[in-house]
Amino acid sequence: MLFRNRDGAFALPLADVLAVVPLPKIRFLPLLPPEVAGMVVHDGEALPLLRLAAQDSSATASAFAVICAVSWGRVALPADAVPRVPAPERFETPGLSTADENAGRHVLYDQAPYLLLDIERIVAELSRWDFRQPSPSGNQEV
Amino acid sequence: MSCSTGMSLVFRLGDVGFSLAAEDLLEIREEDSRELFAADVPPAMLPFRDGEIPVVNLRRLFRLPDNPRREVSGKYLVLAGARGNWAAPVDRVLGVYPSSAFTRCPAPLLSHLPGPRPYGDVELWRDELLVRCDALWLEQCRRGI
Repeated sequence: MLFRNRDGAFALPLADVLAVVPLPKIRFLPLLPPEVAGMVVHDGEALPLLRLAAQDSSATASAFAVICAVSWGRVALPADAVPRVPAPERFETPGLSTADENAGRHVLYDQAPYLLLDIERIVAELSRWDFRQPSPSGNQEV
Repeated sequence: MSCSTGMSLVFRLGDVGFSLAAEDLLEIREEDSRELFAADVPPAMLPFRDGEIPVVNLRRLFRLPDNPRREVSGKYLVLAGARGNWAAPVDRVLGVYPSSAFTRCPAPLLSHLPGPRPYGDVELWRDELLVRCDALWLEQCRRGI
């Protein structure tokens, strides 16, 4: 699946995607990692809406949320439009191999590069963030 | 305080909403906040009954930015703690509501973040996501975090 937002252009394995929904209302909570733009409630559960680039990027301006499965639950990614699911033969995946080696790789579609996301790697970073460290400006939008 | 069983207080710090079991609440007071909002070390004290109780700045505990529109007169929650009563300034008190007004909202991320943290649960109230607080845990956190 391919999608764009203000952070860039991204590709996700379809197996990671549970749903694409209009971006729910974003709610701000204290003491969240800077990579979390806020929380969205989906199916009765509060999910983190992740920033995919700069900590001050405006994930909140997107129109859609891509709901993804991770090992401990679900997360939401901002998307500016309904993502594309191109036919496999229209993809170019130069040099892709194992998940570990694919970090930071791009896939090509219509000659445009899309950063291949490893959601598990991204959420693993979240669990390392200690709020007792000096406070970043990322989620202080209150 | 059996009459408050199952009731929760809703209050706000900035734009963030919080809820707390009403049975932990002893009183809501309005005080001149100019001195009490000063630094926590040494802790500010609030006259209460025949003595004084410490004032805990929840904004600092939750790493929320200071309120630039702070008014001279502020509201204080007086809460029961394990080591005595304590007070917390808040921006707004929105009321006390029965448990039926709240819907627990699972947030798995919160349990995967390093702790200890001042809160671990959130709940929905009138389409707003509230931070669920526990007075005893907050009291413990302000000593240890």
